[in-house]
Amino acid sequence: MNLLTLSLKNLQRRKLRTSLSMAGVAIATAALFSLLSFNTGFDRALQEEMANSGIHMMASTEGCPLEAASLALHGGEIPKFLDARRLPEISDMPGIRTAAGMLIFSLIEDEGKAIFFYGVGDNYRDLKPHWKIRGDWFTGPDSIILGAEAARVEKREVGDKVYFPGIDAEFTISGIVERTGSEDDGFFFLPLDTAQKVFKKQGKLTAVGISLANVEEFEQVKGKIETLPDVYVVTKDQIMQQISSLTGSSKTLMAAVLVVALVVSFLGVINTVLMSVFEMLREFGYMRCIGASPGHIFRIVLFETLLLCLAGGVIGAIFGMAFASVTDQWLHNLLPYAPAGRFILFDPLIIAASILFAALAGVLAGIIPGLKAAHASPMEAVRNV
Amino acid sequence: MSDLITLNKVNKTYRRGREQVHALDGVDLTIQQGEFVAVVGPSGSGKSTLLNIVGAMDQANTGKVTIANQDVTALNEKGLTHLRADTIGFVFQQFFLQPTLTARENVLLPTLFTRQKYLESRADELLARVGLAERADHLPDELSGGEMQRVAIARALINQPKILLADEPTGNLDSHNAEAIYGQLDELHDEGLTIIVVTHSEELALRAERRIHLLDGRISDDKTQGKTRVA
Ligand SMILES: Nc1ncnc2c1ncn2[C@@H]1O[C@H](COP(=O)(O)OP(=O)(O)OP(=O)(O)O)[C@@H](O)[C@H]1O
Ligand SMILES: [Mg+2]
Repeated sequence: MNLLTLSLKNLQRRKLRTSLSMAGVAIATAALFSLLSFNTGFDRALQEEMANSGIHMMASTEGCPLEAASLALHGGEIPKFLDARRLPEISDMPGIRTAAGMLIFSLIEDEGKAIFFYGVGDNYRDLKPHWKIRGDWFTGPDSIILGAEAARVEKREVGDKVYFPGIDAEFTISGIVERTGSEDDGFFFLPLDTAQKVFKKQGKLTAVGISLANVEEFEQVKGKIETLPDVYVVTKDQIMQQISSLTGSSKTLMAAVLVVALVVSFLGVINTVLMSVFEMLREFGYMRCIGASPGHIFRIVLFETLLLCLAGGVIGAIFGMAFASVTDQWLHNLLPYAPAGRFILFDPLIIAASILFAALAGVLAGIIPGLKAAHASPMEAVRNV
Repeated sequence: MSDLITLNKVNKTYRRGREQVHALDGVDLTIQQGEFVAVVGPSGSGKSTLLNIVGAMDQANTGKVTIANQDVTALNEKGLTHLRADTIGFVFQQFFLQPTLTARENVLLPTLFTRQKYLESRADELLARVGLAERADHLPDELSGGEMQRVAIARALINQPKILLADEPTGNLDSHNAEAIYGQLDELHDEGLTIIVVTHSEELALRAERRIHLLDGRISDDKTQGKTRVA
């Protein structure tokens, strides 16, 4: 037996209270773990997605490139359209591997829910090399391809028909894109010609997604495209920046919630330990009689909070990992733009950091109760109650 | 025999509202190594106050207190802690056993705070002395009041103190259990331990060889008496 085991046994005396504040620490640590993982995981996933997607730049008529990026990425219409004649002009430029025209349209359904249509040409597939399609690519002008989430919501399978009253059109599902984790999951893809017809935008495009044959020619190609009338180019970097700033406010909000959780559990621990210190003043007084110094008493209390927070931290980190996929899904749904791929991966550094943080909080939380206890005089033992 | 404890004109006052209570009022007292002293007197006469000062738990307002050649009034917190740890063993009316520790662990508790070794065999020896060899692994919950107090005595002895202080050690016990405690104190005294007990129990007071009677914070009577032994 030593002071540490004595602290441990003291904790066991108040099992319910100890477990409750341990649960508080666990929740806070799980939240901390998730946020730390998310912070690194999001950027990594975003970069991976950008690296995977063949798009190096997008051309549109939108003057503000960031606006265009935002709309193109998480759906929405750009009210100004690009003349479809620009598409072959761009395609024919040297250094271009793929130039895929798209027409993006949203339709508000009866329930007020917006559905996004992407009219895309066959070469759009070159920009989505990682897509796995169940069924087939477009088989005719009335075929449609659904994102995995869109298919789930519409409760449709390959071969089924979907009817959209808003445009009075019916399509046959030729394929469903398997879940990517990105915004694509929620979209409806139509053949470009069909989309132009249905939305009465013949000869118009929203944007052209461009993939380069050689990334080193980036600036050259960009400059060349921008010589075309009414064409502006948004680069991949600008798109990433835009996504980051879109995510920034969500990150801030989550960080704020986290800070609240941390503070609440921190105060909870102080309260728990302080309460037991008050209950044990007499015993601490007695320990002073049998030779304990104020430092001994301080350490007993400090170890108690440390053990409590350490245990809570470990439990929290385990829970954070156990529920990583649930948290991941939740974050993907919550964020304005979520790249494909997992955010929360097993990262020993983040696990260690979370637990260490909990332990550090334990040490800090122990200071006030520890000092209170250390001040117990031997006379506390014989004080009349 | 040498003077182990000396009190010189010791005053201790407490403030109760506007009133000043003279818990001890100019007490002069010398106790020698190996004495068995009973402190008696009516409630509120200052018995516990005297014991707390002798135990270096409390400080006198004025006067001089010397314990084992150390001037207590001149010691700092650290010095007092060491004095309590090394020289004095305490037994109280409440047993102060840690409910989550076994009898053995409770006996060993003081060693966590001192340079004494954490020796389970030593604890078992002491538990055997107080007749609790079989109970070493029991929790306080599983012990009777008398057994708990005997564990407390074993614990007070683990650091091999020079002085054993006991404030109403049998106050919470029935006569049968109290009897066992008396026997223990007798034995310890026979082995040369200096014992000071505060008690309302005439039976216990009779065991001591010296009886100090307190009245209103003053020693009103101090006499040596023949020890009563129950064979
Ligand atoms: N902490 C305190 N604050 C105020 N007054 C105190 C305090 N401790 C003791 N006193 C007073 O000092 C006097 C002596 O108290 P003490 O506890 O020494 O008496 P006692 O002889 O042990 O009594 P009892 O037999 O009831 O235990 C009493 O009048 C008591 O009320
Ligand atoms: Mg008393």
